[in-house]
Amino acid sequence: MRRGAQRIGLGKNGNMRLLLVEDDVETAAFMSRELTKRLYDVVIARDGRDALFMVNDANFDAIVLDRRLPLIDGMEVLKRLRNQDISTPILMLTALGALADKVEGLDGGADDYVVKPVEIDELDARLRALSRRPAVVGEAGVLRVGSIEVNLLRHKVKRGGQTIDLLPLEFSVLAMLLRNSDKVVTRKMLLEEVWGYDFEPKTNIVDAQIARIRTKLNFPPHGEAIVTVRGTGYMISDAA
Amino acid sequence: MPRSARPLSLRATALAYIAAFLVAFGIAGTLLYIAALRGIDREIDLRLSAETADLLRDKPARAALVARIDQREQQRPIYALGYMLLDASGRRIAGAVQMQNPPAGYSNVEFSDKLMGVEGLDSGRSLSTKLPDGSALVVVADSDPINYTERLLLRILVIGFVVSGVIVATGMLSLATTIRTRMRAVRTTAEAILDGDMTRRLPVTGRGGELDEEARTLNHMLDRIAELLASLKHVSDDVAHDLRTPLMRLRHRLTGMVEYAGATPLLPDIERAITECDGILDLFAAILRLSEIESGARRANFAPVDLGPLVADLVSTFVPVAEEGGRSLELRKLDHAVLPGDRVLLAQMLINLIENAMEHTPPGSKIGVEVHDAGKRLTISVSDDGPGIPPDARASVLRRFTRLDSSRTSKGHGLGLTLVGAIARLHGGTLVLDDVTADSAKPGLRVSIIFSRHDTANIQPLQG
Repeated sequence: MRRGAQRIGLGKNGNMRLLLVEDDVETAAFMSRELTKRLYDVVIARDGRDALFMVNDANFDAIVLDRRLPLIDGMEVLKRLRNQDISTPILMLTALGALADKVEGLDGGADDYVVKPVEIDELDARLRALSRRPAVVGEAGVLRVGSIEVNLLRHKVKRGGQTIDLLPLEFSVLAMLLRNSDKVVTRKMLLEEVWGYDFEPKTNIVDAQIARIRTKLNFPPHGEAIVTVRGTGYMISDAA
Repeated sequence: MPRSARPLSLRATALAYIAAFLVAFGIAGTLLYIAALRGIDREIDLRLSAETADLLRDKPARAALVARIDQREQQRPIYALGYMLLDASGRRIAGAVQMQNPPAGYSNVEFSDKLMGVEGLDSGRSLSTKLPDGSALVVVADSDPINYTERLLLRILVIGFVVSGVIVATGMLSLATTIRTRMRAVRTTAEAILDGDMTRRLPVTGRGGELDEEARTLNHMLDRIAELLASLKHVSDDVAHDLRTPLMRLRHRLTGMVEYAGATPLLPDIERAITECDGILDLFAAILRLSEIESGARRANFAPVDLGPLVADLVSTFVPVAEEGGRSLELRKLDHAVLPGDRVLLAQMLINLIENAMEHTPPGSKIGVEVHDAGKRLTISVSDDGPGIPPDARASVLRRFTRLDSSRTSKGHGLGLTLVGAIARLHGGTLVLDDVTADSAKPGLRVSIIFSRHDTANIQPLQG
């Protein structure tokens, strides 16, 4: 939180414009305050009808949409926006966490589906993952960050030209970090994407996996390949 | 169960009824045939005795009797009655029938060519009457009409047998087919509903009748169940939303306080309150997940899951975690098997079991995972060499919110094994707890999920 707070006043030009659709006043105020600290320009809509008006009035980089809303339900808002060919990334943030609800939301056109409660840093990471263009995959499916090279087609990893043997899960984790090379990837995002889990084990299996990748990936003269973002997740190091 | 005690299938029942009907029809037809033939024989015998009595009316003298015979033979040859009068020495003295040693009384006779005396008379029945003067009067009736009647009767019976046999067989088989089709529809619908498609209903033909009536009643029942499930879902959605929202507000407020409180003495208390809040939110999440699993909704998501890579991956993921805590974790046996199920839930089940074993054993313990395919049953088990659970406490740990630590100070919400049990049940498995060794001081604990293969081909061995 402090990290975000220090960045206040960097100027609004580079900020993400976010429409937050949330009927609970206090939750909306809290989220708006926290997101503003993390360089978002937040506009709040209190019900589905307001949300639809506002989307048509202004350009947003992303929309956070609650599912249960007065007047027009969140799922209905989602459908109408997608029917109007509005392709703004939409993150559904909802208390309904059953698999069927999630599938319904994603099938309805949501780009991400997050079950409440959510840490603001988690939300921040996911919004940034949604709003930026995906990493450009180089020739023959090769991703490169610094000295690290991941061949997605051949499932091969090299650092500084040296081939590194990774197990399938380790490979998938590293590939996801490289695909989001300028963003934080949270533990939850890794659990969902790499493991396919819609639950969080008590044990931090992501950290265990990262530790194993590090022992294989870090060797002289190269520095730390994976940066830990405290309390949130991981990022591939620019200096790698 | 002995094979003979098994109830017959519908088709077998129908075939048995058809066979019983045909046997009964056959017996009745044969009796009718025999009775009819006897009746005709009696009729002929009456005719023969009437004719004999008429010839011997008023006790005629021999000459008169001969004259009567001659007269009849000339008058009524078409009656196909033949006569013969033999004197006491057995010589024929009147009548056209030629027969030697006619048997006394009624008898069936066959006429060979040389005996043929009357046109059209080839076989028949005769009545031979001894007269007081030692001569014998023989009257013969042609049996052609009997043969004709007999053949006709036989034909009618055979045609009747075939026609009604076909009608009965068609009727029984089509009834059996109708019932079977309907039962199959009921079964398919029930299976689809079990697989999570609550919108499925039984077909109603609209032609009325008991089957339609039954389908309507069952559909009505399904509607009612769907309504109840929907309202249950509604309730848990409400719980999820209406209880989580104020808790989240509370948490937001506490988080805000941490930020502004700075380093006041209250800070640890506020942080503890946040942890407490998170605990309640986790508990809600666990309860909601449990009810999602128990509703069976996730069956819609079932696909063949190859247990081999799933278990191997999980064990290799948890090996470093276990080692960090000073325990060892190993995969002791891994038979490859494919189980229709929800991959994510099966992973959660195994993770809970491994985490449970790590939580409830002292450092230095050994934890083992096994997938054992014994043909009839498939067992996934996690065992440890820790303190175990006394047998009388085992039932209670499977109940919701039970923690053996009675002060409830240990972390966790006490739903871990309940969740494992619910996932096992969703997949048709059962959860069993037992000791690993007979050593009462350190029995260890083995938690097994057992899937039986007896009912359906629920679990297939891995092909290739």
